Amino acid sequence: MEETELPFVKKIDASEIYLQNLKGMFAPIKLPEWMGSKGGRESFKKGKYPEYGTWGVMYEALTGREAIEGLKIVDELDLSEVKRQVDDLNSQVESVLSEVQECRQSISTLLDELRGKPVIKQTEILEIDATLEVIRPIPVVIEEYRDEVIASFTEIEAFGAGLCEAEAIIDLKNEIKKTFFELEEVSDEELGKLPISWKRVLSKVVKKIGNSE
Amino acid sequence: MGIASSFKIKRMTGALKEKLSLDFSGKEPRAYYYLGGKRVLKVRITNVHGGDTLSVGAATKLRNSLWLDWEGLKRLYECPMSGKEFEYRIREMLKRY
Repeated sequence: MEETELPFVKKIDASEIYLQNLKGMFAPIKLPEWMGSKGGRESFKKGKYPEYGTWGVMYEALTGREAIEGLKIVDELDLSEVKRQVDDLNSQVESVLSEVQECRQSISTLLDELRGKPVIKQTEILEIDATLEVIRPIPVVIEEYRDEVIASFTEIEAFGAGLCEAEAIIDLKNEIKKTFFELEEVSDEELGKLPISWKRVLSKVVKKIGNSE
Repeated sequence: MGIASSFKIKRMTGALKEKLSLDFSGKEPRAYYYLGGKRVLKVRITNVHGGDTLSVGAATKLRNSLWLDWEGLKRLYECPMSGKEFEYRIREMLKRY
């Protein structure tokens, strides 16, 4: 019994040689007697015996010397093929790594976009203050961003901002009030199409019950 | 968050004042945009954090109030869009409205 280690040889003893398949498999193949002859090796190289494959060998030998002889044959036959396969695998791994990198990039971009998107809710304003009476609930869209909240009365392009929902709604109420009195104090001739429509909308949802400070 | 989070408040306010002749004289930048002597748009810049950059929410509201897309707001902020060009855009928008 003798043991030695050679490149891509897992183990050699008097009866067996295992060549490790670089794909992580062992492919035991029995080498025939003709492999010992030059003609046999040439035929093997030319691919006349595909059933013996090219990836590994289990050489049944009586002695360690015979085993190493068998290995030399296989080594000679397979080395360039192995190199080619390793190169192929390397390029496949590189391509997978590059795809993974692209995926990471896309995920990061999507996360950024998601963080910029607000959580949207709806509510109503039922009361403003002593100067304006709400005669019809005012629809409010709440947009919760990561670091601020915006409350909007979209129909009149008014919004309020704050660190929390309550603050944003209070700001919106002030904005509605300001807009109401700003539009009320001027005639329709001084207003463009949008402000006129805001004025009309406001007249349907709020009524003046006091004077603005 | 891209474009929305990259606007400096001071620079944005300056660009709007200069190009749209907005009167931001109050405590908070808030003014009407006039065309042909009429109030046409209402522009407001909020800053709940007191930082120097416009928040995403405030930038979104500003963009909406100016009836611009992000690219338009960026062009207005960075100078390529003049007050005249903005006026033309708003006039075109009002024709459709």
